[in-house]
Amino acid sequence: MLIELKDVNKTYFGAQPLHVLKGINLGIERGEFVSIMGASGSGKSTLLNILGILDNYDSGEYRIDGKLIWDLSESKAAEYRNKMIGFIFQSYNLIGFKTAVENVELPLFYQGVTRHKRHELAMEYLDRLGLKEWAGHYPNEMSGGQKQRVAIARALITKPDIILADEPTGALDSKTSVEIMELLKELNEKDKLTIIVVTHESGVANYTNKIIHIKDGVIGEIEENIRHDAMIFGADGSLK
Amino acid sequence: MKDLFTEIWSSLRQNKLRTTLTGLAVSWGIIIIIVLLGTGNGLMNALLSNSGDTVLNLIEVYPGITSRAYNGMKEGTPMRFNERDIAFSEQFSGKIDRAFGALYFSDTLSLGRETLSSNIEGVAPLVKDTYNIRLAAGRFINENDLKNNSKIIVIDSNAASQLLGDAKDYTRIIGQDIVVGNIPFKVVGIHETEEMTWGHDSYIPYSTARIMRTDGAWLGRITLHFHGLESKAANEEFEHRYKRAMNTFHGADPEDTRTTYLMNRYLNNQEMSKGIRIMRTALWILGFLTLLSGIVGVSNIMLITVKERIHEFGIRKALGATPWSILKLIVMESIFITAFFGYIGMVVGMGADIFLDKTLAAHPMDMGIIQLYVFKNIGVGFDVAIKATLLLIVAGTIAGIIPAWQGAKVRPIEALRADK
Repeated sequence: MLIELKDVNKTYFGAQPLHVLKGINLGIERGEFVSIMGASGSGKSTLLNILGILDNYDSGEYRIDGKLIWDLSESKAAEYRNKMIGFIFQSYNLIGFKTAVENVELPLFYQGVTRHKRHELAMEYLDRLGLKEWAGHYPNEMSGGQKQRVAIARALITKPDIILADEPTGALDSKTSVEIMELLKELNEKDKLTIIVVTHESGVANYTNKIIHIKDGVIGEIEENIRHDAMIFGADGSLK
Repeated sequence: MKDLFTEIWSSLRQNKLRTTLTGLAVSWGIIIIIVLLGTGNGLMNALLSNSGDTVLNLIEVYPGITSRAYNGMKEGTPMRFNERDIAFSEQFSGKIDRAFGALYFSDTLSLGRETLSSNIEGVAPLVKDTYNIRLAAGRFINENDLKNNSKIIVIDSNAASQLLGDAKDYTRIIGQDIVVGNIPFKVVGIHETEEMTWGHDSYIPYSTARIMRTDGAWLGRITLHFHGLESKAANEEFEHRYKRAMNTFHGADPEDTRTTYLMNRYLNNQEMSKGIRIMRTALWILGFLTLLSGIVGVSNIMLITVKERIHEFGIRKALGATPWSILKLIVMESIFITAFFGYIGMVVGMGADIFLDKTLAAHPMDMGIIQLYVFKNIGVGFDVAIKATLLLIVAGTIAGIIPAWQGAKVRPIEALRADK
């Protein structure tokens, strides 16, 4: 079991305490391609943040590859994120004043990889994603689909255990969305990458092999979706 | 290290306006400090040079008026010095090496149709060294002149040019006769006009002046050379005893303090050193306050910088940046800006000092009857400039640390949620 959650709880203490995750139990195997689906306010973003070690939880247990993620120092958390997790965000989150290749290099910079090696690797990944010619361009010179592919290259470059994609097609048109989902599917099939997609779009979820429904802070139905027919959307290739 | 510089460079290049503004605040701070210290030094140099004297073991005695009646002598009786007072002063204490008097009055000097008014001092040869009189040409009064009651005169260079109506070749007046009042005197020397001077100063032999002023002219001043008075207390005690002795010698109340005025170079010098120390401290305080406003400026801009970049820091943290690496990035950026622009400020500031030295300090200020240098040798030592710049860099670093810490400790989800 690559990812294991046992009775994970999370409450936001504000003016009115909000119990967001109410005892999440979940297991994800290495090489799985799953989606976490839920409406806004269901707790899926909070779950993603906890999975990505961007946020902490109040009680329960969360293990990645057997390592307990609990009470980590900022530096340790940074190290785990760097080595084990690749993020793909809805809004790409590329650094505006860095070129495509510099953005892709960044995770390796924090691993202390030499300049030359870093650049070489980043170019390799950009080439794989068909963006070699765009390596020297800044994010504002690229289309949404290109930016997301740069972000995917950046997520892949450290060869992480888990790819976490938070609404990866949220800002893209349907044609580009299909391209991105096909890309993720291919990465899962060919490279045996573990990919977790968080979405509220059924079409996106339909691309994954397993759909985990989350509602009001609890895990609901878990659908096997090998045939990709769980949803009415996506079956014919149209996502939106 | 090179990576860090690339990082800093790209972020600085990205935010040109912010970088320029921060840099300007830093450069301006350094320029102000260096100009402030430079002109301050100029002012102090001018003060020291205007006083200009090197002989410190000197007391000048000027006659006053009795302030109380004593033993038949009425209040308000003027003290009058003559040769007997010189002799008395010389014997007063073993600490007095020499005493000499000066007889001075004012009269006209004329050559042909040119006439001007001058102070005329009847002096001893020793005056030249005592008052640092610098000869431009010719010679000063010597012992033979005194012995022979020679009618010779040493005038200042301004008077020489004016009398000849020729500013350039004024030395040609040497050997010519000029008329003092109505007596012809031969010019034997020209002394350089003092930087701080009240009109013209001419010197004639003491003995000659004495003959000219048989109409009961009294000594204007007695100068005492002393030795062995090394402290303020010793000087004050000596002055007190001398005043008492002089009062007794003239039949005035021994405790009357108005009968003689003493100008003690040693004590004056001490006062001046103290004044200069205070001025120097004041300048540094002003400089420090300027620096403080620079620091606040840098700190403020760094605070805005961190706020603006919080989203970026969130991305970096998600990708594996440790708080330490974020802190390092911001602080190094702050150091880089302050060092670079501090250096520019230092160069410009020193340039400004040179410019001020060439303009403001090049000519004495003409205040009508008195000409004096307000500034002299404006500028700071290279070491001081470096120190001030280093101080600013250190301060800039400290100013960067607090905002940087805020940037470093922000939680990644909050940072990612922040507006771009």
